[in-house]
Amino acid sequence: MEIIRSLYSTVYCQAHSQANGLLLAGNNEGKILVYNIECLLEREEGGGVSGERPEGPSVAVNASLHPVYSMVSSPAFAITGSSGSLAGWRWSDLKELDEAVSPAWTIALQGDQSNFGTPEINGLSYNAESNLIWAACGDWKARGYDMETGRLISTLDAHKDYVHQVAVSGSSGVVSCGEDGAVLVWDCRAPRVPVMTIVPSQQTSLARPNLGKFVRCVDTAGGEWLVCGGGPSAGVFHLRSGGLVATLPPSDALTPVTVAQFTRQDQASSIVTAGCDGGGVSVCSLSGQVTAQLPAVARCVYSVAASFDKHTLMSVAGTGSRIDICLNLSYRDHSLSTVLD
Amino acid sequence: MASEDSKKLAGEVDSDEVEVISVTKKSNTVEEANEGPAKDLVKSQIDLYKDALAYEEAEVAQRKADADQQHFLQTNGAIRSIMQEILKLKLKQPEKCSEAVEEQRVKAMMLILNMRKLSRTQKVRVRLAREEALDARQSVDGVTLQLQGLLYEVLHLQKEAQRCLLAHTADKDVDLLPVEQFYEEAPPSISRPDVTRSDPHQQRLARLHWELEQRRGQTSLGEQLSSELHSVQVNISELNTKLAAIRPCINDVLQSTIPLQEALGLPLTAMRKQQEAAQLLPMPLYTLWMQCSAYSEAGDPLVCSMIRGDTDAAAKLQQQQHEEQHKTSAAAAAAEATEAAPGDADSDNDPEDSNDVSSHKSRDRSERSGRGKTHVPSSNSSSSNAAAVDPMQQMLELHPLHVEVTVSTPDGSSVVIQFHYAMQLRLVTTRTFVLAKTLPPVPGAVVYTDVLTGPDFLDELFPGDGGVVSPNPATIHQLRRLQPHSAFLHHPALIPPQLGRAYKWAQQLAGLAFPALQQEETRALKDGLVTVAEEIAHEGGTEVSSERVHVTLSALRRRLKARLVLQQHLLSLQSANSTSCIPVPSGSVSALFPGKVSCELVSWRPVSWQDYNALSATAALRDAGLAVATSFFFRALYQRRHVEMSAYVCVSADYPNTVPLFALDLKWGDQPCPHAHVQQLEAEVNVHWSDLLVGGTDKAHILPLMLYRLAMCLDVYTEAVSSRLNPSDAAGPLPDDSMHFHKEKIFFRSARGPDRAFPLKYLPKLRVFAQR
Repeated sequence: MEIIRSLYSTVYCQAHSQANGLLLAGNNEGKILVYNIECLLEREEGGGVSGERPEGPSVAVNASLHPVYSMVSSPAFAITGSSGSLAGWRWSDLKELDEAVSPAWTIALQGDQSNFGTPEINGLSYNAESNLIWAACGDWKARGYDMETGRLISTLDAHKDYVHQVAVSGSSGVVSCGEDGAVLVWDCRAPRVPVMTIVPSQQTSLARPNLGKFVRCVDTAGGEWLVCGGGPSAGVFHLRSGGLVATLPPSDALTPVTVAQFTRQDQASSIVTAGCDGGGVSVCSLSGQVTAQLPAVARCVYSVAASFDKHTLMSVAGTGSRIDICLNLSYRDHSLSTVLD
Repeated sequence: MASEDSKKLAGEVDSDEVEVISVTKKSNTVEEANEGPAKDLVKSQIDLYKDALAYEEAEVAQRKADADQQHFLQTNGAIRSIMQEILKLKLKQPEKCSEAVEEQRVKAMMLILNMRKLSRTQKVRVRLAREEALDARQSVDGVTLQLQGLLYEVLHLQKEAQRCLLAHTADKDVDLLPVEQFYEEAPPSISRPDVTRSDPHQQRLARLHWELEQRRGQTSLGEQLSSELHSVQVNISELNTKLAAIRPCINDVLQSTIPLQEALGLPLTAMRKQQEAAQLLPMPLYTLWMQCSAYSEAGDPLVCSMIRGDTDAAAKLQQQQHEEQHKTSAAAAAAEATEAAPGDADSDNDPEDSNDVSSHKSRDRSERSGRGKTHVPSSNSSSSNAAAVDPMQQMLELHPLHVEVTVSTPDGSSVVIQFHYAMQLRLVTTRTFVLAKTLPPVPGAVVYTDVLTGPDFLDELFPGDGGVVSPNPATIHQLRRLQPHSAFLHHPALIPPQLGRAYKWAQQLAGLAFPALQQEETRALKDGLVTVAEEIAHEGGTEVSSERVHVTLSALRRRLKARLVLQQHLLSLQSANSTSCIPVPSGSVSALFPGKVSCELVSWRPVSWQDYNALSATAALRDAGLAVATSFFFRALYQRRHVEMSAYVCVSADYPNTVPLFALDLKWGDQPCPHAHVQQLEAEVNVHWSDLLVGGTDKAHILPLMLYRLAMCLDVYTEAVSSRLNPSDAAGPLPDDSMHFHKEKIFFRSARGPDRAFPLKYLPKLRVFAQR
């Protein structure tokens, strides 16, 4: 029975904290898998890991009855989004590697539940400058909460289907994408209407009508660039003008894009994209040149997390029971199990 | 004595002295008379000599030796002085000295005479002293001799005394009655307490006497009894001959009652025959037969165990084994057999030669059955045949008898298991037949999959018990010896298929315990038994029993029930051409599914393991080790217009305890559907099957429920995909209507979450579909 469960398990989201030596992964069973990755951060001369690599999670924390769909890290907290609520987990608590750890705070979504059931939180984004946390919700809205008080600061309501992901840009810029196929650029100081609307499915070089028009993922970097993908192919847009700059892999007609994000928020140096059907992960430049093609154990990649605090660390997760670990942006090093021994 | 002698001697000496004194007087006179007339000179010469001797002897006695010494020295000195005088004289006046010298010479001569006298005296003294020494030595010798004689006498006496001290009589070896008991039991004429109380010797004599009396009495009693025994033996042999004469009569009577027994339904003869045959069974089968019949007698009349096979051959075989054993260990075995014969019931528990239990047992049996049954005269034909046959054949030889256990369900179906014993391999193997009574015949239908009659019917009855690999660790070596170049080298010892299956539970029922290769294996077996026991108790509403026979037989019955239900399901599935043909229990349909299902189950066909193995869709299940070759494989084909779904079903041998596994191959027209979508559909049945067992639905119906559920999922999937691509569905018919599915099921969202999940979960209360 356990084997079958692990066959059909999925990791939706990940978060790194190199300062605390932790890697978190949220899965479809509502668990946060906590990995101790201290040893991956002690590198040898050539960039390899000297010590023993971790095999599996140190502990699996029961976070929710519903799948843990999204996760983002702030310096003090790991914030997870599940159905109907946000939870903040103190890194220092998680570092204890105790199964019974409880969240430092939770925020319940105040939404109209009658039409949608409990809305889920599909994406999270943290703005360090304004200390706001943005949640992409299943009830067609994106919400901004103040991390200090936990109060709802603003609601972005212009999508016509559920919101897949939000990304922040600068102190007040917010970008959201949704199942309705639109990428909306907001200025949260004026949250009533989006500043700009980009519809990738209307770009002929991106559109893939057979896959639909949904936009699964969006990310920004350097306050200037935006990358998004989903049913339409992944593409790089200029944030202010809304113009398409480059088309990114996976370029075949059958693979929906599940991940398209900048590796760093501060500079648009490289972009990671991944698809839904076994193509692995591509690392590209801003112009769409593929610099590395990494294989992934997960047939369908749902989450790529990268961090550069001490050393480069990238992890790739999705369906199945393994998480791939890369020590640079060029090679896969090894993979971790998601099954707790 | 010596002193007396010396006294006597002294006395004689005294008398001699007297004589000597007189002689001395006479001799003085004689010397004076020498100058006188010499008439009687000769006569007196002899006397004189004698007298002189006597006189000198007397003188010797009188005089002291020391004084004589002194006298001699003086004389010597005097002679020397005379010699000097003469020398002086001669030197002074050589011419005139002759007279003086003569005078001096006379003097010297006198002195020399004196010296001679002294010398004679001395000689006499020496002689006397010698005589005395001789006497003394003789007396000393006598005394020594006497002493030695005495010493020898002492030694002899000591030896005698020692012998007396060490002497011990036979009476010490005789066990006697204790003294108190002796005085109580013995008559006073023998015990004589007045005498014996005080005298231990008399007491002992009396006790010995009493012992003798008693022994005599007992000997006569023994003789009497042995004569009685003899007479009784004679009596018994007479009775035996009479009984033997009655036997044919009784046999005739029994024979004639058989029709009556049959008419009345009394299994008396059959039971007796079974009992007789049981004597011929090899030990493991005997144990198994005993356990099963005891269990059925104790309260489960639906279990029936019978012994079948060739009893004559079994008797021959036993005889043969018996003889062989006698041949090999002739004298020793014979001695052991005679010892064991009186108490053969005990020798069953004999811990010795546990290696050879079966032959040991059979020997006992032959003796036991020898009393009740006449043996077929032994012939060596079978052994000579055995030598001629192929060694492999011999290795796989089965005992001619086998035990047939029939486990029935209350509705009349039953599973018949034949337990055989492979004598060389020392294994119990099984062959299984199912007698199904309730199976409704499907007219004209070819049975594609028979889950009832295959040899694998009882595979995986307990987890990990496939029955194909020998549970006996020795088997692999036995088989290797015969086929050194075969595949056994690298594989576990596979039981040749003609023997049937060697399940571990069968060995345990038969009391054959093999050392498990690994500790974990034993633990796993035990855990499996406990789990099955708990499940059975749960199903039957009885208490948990870990009793092996009960659990095993209940598991057999459970397997039979499950397979009967499965067979029925498969029969209706193989002729199914629509989803409504899926034999879902009617109660579950309304509780689990919405009213209408649009996609159709087009066909249901068995698939071979090779074909299943070759499919890419099943790779994940195969790689995870979940789909194994011992399972049954099917392909269910669903269709909804141009959407086609092949479900490859793996039904485990342990179904329904292990639920079926589905691998899907989904095609939208010509295009394969995305893997992520297929995964979601698969997870719905493979992971979330427990949703289907609401309201106490029997797990035996899980397969049709899963199939029906899959049909429903395909409906929702097709509709959700259509609504995603064309959200404005409600607006009206679209131009490419043929490619589009109308939304018939009720769901709010066609996608949810980062993985854009489909609303595959049905909420019966709201009658809507939603995401998990």
